[in-house]
Amino acid sequence: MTFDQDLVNQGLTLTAIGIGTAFGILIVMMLLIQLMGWLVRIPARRAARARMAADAAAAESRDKALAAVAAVSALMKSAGPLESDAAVPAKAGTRKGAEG
Amino acid sequence: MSELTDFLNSSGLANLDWRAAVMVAVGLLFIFLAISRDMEPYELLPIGLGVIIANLPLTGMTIFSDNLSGHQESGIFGIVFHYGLSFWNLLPPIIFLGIGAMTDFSPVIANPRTLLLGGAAQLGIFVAFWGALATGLFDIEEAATIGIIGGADGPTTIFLSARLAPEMLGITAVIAYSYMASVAFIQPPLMKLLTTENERRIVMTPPREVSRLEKLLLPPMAMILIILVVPRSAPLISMLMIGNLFRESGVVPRLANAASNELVNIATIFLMITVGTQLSADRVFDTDTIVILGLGLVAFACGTVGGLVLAKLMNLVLKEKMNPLIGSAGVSAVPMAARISHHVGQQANPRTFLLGHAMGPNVAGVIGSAVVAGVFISLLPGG
Repeated sequence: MTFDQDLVNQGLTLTAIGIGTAFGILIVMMLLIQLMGWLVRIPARRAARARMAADAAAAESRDKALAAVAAVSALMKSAGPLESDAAVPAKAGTRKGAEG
Repeated sequence: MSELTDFLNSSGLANLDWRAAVMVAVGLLFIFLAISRDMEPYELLPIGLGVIIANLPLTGMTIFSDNLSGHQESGIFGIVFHYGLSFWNLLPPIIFLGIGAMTDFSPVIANPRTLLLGGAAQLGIFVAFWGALATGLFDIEEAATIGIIGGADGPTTIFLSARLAPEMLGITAVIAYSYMASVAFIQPPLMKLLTTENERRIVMTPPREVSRLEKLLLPPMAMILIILVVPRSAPLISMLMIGNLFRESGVVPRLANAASNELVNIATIFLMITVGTQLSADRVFDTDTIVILGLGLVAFACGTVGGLVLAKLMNLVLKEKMNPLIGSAGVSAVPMAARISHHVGQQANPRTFLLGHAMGPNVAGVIGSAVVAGVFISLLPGG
């Protein structure tokens, strides 16, 4: 097994350039694909953020509404029974039955 | 009586030597393996028929004559070999168009890190290249042609052989396809040897959903990048990406269908029979052939090892570990090598589903070997 020096040099050059180019191209492709994925998903990320913000706003307004309902209920309880409640005893019975 | 003697002397039987008879038997064996064992049937069946045609005496089907005054001198496979391969090298790029139209790049887009495994698997090409040079039997073009067998990509092997060493085309193509058909025997022992049971049991999270826009952007982006760096890989890479864009665009279903069905099938018929016809007895019964057979096996084994070892190395730095078995799929051989990764993973842990992940390095291996072929053509005098 004897190697001609020129052949060795040519072989080494081919190997270095071949492996280097294959890896270099695949690494650049990997980075470009990652960048592409990141860019392409920007609108989706924005939409998700907007949806989360909308959900948060809806939750906040729902909390406010609940707080208002609670406040009104508490006020009504402290003010005593309404005249209309006394006027419809049958309905109150039904409600009690339903709760039981 | 003399007419009868002349007729008998001109018959194939009188001119059949034992080596040609052995090759006819080899052709029949290929046909048997393709039909009964389902081993690469689209390749081995027509190659087997081609081997038989080439070794039956006096058929004239593989002759090519460029003598303008000679009528009816060339045989059909001589013409196909000359114009389809050695002169214009048309058929491998057409096959790549079909492969592109059949390939889904989603696994690569979902997990681009797996591209690196396809790069590592090209190690086999260079080990076989140096092995061929070390024997002293081959010049550097022939060594490169033998090395590309390690890319485990039939059309790329044929493309490079036709360009650098046309006389070796038949043998390198058949060895490449034979080893591709044998990945189920070659790879699993190496995969088990180089990985621990725990590594093989690693469960990978399913690849993310890939958007249509990403699938549309990849082919032109990859084509421009690769061809700008290695223009000589353009015949293969451009056709691969054109075929893929036909598929992903969704607006030219007839073209995508034609590329992935009619066109690739017609090209396969002529390419594979013609490759078979290059396996004449005088070429095969040669020490070089035995050496190429051995180097091809070394190339496949080293490609498998390269992918596995890089996957293990990547696991040292990755937060989410990958199953190193997908590294062996970097040797191209689409999709058999990916199936082997999946199968060996399932043996270790039935909850491991590696097929989708292994298709990434598998596709990267196709790209990597086409790039290396382009580098060989660019730098070698015969290219």
